[in-house]
Amino acid sequence: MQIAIASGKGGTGKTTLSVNLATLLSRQVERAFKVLLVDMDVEEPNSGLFLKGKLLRSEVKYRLVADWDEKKCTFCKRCANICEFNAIAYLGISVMVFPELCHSCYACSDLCPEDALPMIPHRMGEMKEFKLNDRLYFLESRLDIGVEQATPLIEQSRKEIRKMVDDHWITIIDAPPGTSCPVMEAVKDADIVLLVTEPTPFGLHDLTLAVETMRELKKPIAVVINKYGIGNNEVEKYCQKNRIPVIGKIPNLKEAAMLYSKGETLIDAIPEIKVEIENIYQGIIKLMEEKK
Amino acid sequence: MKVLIAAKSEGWDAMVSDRFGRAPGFSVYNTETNKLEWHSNTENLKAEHGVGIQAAQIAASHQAELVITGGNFGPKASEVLQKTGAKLVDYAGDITVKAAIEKFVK
Repeated sequence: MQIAIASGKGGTGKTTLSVNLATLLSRQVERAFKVLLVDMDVEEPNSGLFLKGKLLRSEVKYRLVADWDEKKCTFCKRCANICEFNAIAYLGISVMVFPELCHSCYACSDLCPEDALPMIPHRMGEMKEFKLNDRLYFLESRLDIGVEQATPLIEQSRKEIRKMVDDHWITIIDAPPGTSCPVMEAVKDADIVLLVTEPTPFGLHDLTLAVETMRELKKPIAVVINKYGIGNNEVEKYCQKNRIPVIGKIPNLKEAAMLYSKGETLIDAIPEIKVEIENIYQGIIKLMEEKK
Repeated sequence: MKVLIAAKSEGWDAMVSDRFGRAPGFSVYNTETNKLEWHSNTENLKAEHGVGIQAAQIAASHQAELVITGGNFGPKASEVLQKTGAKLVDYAGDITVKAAIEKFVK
């Protein structure tokens, strides 16, 4: 099973929920599965701040980008005309390819009659796998500074998961914030998407956008309200009206914020949060069974 | 010589556009014939990315030796335009195409 934790709004508690849920599940020996936590917020991965594990491997990740071969080019302009992303400038006497705009679609490369646009690997980031214990593993992908596109690295992380896990695993995805391509790529293989929000007008606004995005992707969703107790009850009213299950309400506690700032997990120190995280898992199981 | 001016609309009296890649269009002035040709930029206005590159490509297709905009050139547009060897004028001011030609060409 794969559970994605997304939000729309940033700073609602995706990482807090991801890390605590993964840690809690990995400790429950009676449930005979292993847990893989994947940080897919490749632009600023932070789950790793809360997890101290042994580094198993580190891999540099590349994507293929078209590269112009001046010697072969006959200046037919086909490449610039075909590029959907305006990544190619045709100047009559020269062709320029902008790697940051290239989406590695191969159109120019495949359709070039002279084979003058070979696809060349460009480094985009690094992927690391950590082992916390026999039952908890952590995969982190980190985009290099200056690389503009997050989606290709997220896609590679997603495919890596498929190689690593089978039915005896639970995978938890810490997704990037927002509602654009990176988050859509991150949740692609998820069986269920938990949307973490906060009970404020900002939280509700971005939750609405996230719900619309996930419905477009036809993903089962459930809402977790973090920092419960602040703001108002508009998020709950919205969920009720739109028949979105609210499977957890994590209380707003100063102690939780203090532990978070020290990079510690909450389930060991705050019993009421531990209970709530367990409830969230039960809520997921119930929803998954209803879907069957 | 040809001069490409990012403009808000067609004609001599149109204002210079303060945006280059997303200018409504480009007036191409030919110093030999003293004529103005309009190149609409409607296609680029719809694009999400890479409009500066496309606009610079338009300048290249007209073999413009001088390119004028009311604002600044983005980094990618500048890169392409530098490759074409065109001379660039940015922050031309809140003036008409005609005034820009008088100020920077004549």
